[in-house]
Amino acid sequence: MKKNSILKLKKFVNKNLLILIISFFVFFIFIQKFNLVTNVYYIINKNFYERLSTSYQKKFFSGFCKKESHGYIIFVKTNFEHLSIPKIINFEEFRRKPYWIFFDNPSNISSKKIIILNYNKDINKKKNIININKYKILDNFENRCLYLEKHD
Amino acid sequence: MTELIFIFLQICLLTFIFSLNTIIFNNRYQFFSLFENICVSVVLHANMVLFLSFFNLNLSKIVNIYIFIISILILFNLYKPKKFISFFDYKQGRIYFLLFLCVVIFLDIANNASLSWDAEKFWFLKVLNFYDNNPIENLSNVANSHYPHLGSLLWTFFWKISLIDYEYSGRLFFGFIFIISILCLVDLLKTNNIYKFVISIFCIFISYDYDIVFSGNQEVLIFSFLSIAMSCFYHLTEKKKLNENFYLILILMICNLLIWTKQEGAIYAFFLILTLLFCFKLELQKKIIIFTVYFSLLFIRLFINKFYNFEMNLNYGYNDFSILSIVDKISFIRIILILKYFLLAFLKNYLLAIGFLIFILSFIDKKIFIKSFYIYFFAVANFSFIFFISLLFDGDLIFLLKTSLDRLIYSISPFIFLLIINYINHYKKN
Repeated sequence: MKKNSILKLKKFVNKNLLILIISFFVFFIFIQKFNLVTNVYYIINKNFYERLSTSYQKKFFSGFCKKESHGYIIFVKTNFEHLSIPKIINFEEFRRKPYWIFFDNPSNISSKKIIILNYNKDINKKKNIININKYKILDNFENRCLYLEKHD
Repeated sequence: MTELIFIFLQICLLTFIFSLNTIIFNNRYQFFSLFENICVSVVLHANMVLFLSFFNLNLSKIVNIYIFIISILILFNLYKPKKFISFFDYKQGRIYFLLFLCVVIFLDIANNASLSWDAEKFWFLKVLNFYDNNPIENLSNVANSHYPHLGSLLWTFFWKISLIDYEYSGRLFFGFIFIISILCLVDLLKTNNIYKFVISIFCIFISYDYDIVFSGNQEVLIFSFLSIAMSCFYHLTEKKKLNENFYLILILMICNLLIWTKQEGAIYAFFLILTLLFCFKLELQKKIIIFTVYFSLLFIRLFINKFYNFEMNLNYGYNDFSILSIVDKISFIRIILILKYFLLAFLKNYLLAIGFLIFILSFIDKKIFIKSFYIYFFAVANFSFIFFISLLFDGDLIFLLKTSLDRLIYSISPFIFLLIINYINHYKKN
């Protein structure tokens, strides 16, 4: 019985040798193109928010602390406790504010805590956007992205 | 590691749910293949979830009703176990192939996880609305309420029923429908399973781009629905006209899904209907019914928009439709500019390049050209539509062409798969 099936298999391989070799290569190119091994490694070793942050660094409209700065907002979300969504002020005013990262109702935005993105002293002086002295600095990334809390 | 296990469970869950033979109640339809059966289930289930949302039910209620219906399906499938072929169709190895493709693509989605610019602006706010258990009535308070909500609804629905707590779990469904629609098309090839395996991988390979397909854009849904519609077209051209009515109903259901996926979906659906009416030999009575049903579906869309007070305007960038303005926009420079970007899109998109090659080759043999005429009809209609919406755009034309043309062309490209299949099958026969 076993011999019979081995013979059948041999016959099948001989008949379809070329296409089997091609499918073997296609299979490996496919796995390579979709980074299967890398993806498994990152999913096991990095949590969702780390992966999300890394992924936004490659986007043309974002980065860690530039443009829409998804990375920094993810950092604030994961490293601090939030009862409400902190208000986001982006000094590049035309940029959108990705409040969705907090996965909360947008009506729950509070200005008690503020995330400042792409901070620029000169623009702040000129337009008087925020008086930082009124706030306690909870986090400061290269004086460009800040997480502030209003003094009681 | 837990997340990885949950992703595998999600694959099993989706395959199981959609493998439940939804047409078990009718003996005539048991010859469908695994992939075809799953595609039919996806279309039916998506229509069902969409239909339930019209009654202003919140997502929890929709999920409960859905689970109830699935339970009934399971009972019937167990009652007629012979017909419960799909999920246990392991002998042909197709289920393993489907699971393998799902693993590869789902892991890529899980690792990348980011949303596109459009997805954040137009679609994800709707997703959050449903996730917060708000019914569609509340969409009038969300930006761009005139955009259809089907994609966001399905995204949230599969996020809610998933074991994974992150939003990408909803988008895994997009990956699933993308894979299954391509497999369903490739399954039409009259070759053995190894060739189908290689060609499926090749098709996924050339049509996959995370940023266009899985970053939350709705083009993947349009692409998948059109792929399923193309496989229906293929069946309608077969000499043995088995299940003609079934495929016609399926196309109409796909039209409904297209109408509720994106604004331009209604136009793609219209071209599907036009192709049916002009290129297929159908009885006049059926043609009238198809036409009437399509316009009824459009009417329902408008009615729901009006009923729930959604905005009723067209997309941004189309404000002035006076004859003078239209004539003003049709200029030689604009036409050349659009053609230039079309050419660039052809060079960037391998699928289009292959389609173009087959188009030229089909001139050698008139038989294949006549046989594929309905595909060319559909393609020309779609390309003309994309050309004219670009031409009539009021805003920055170059910005539109740079940012949208790729995606628009991508979403209509499944006709090229059908072209390839037609071509291969034709020469296989002769």
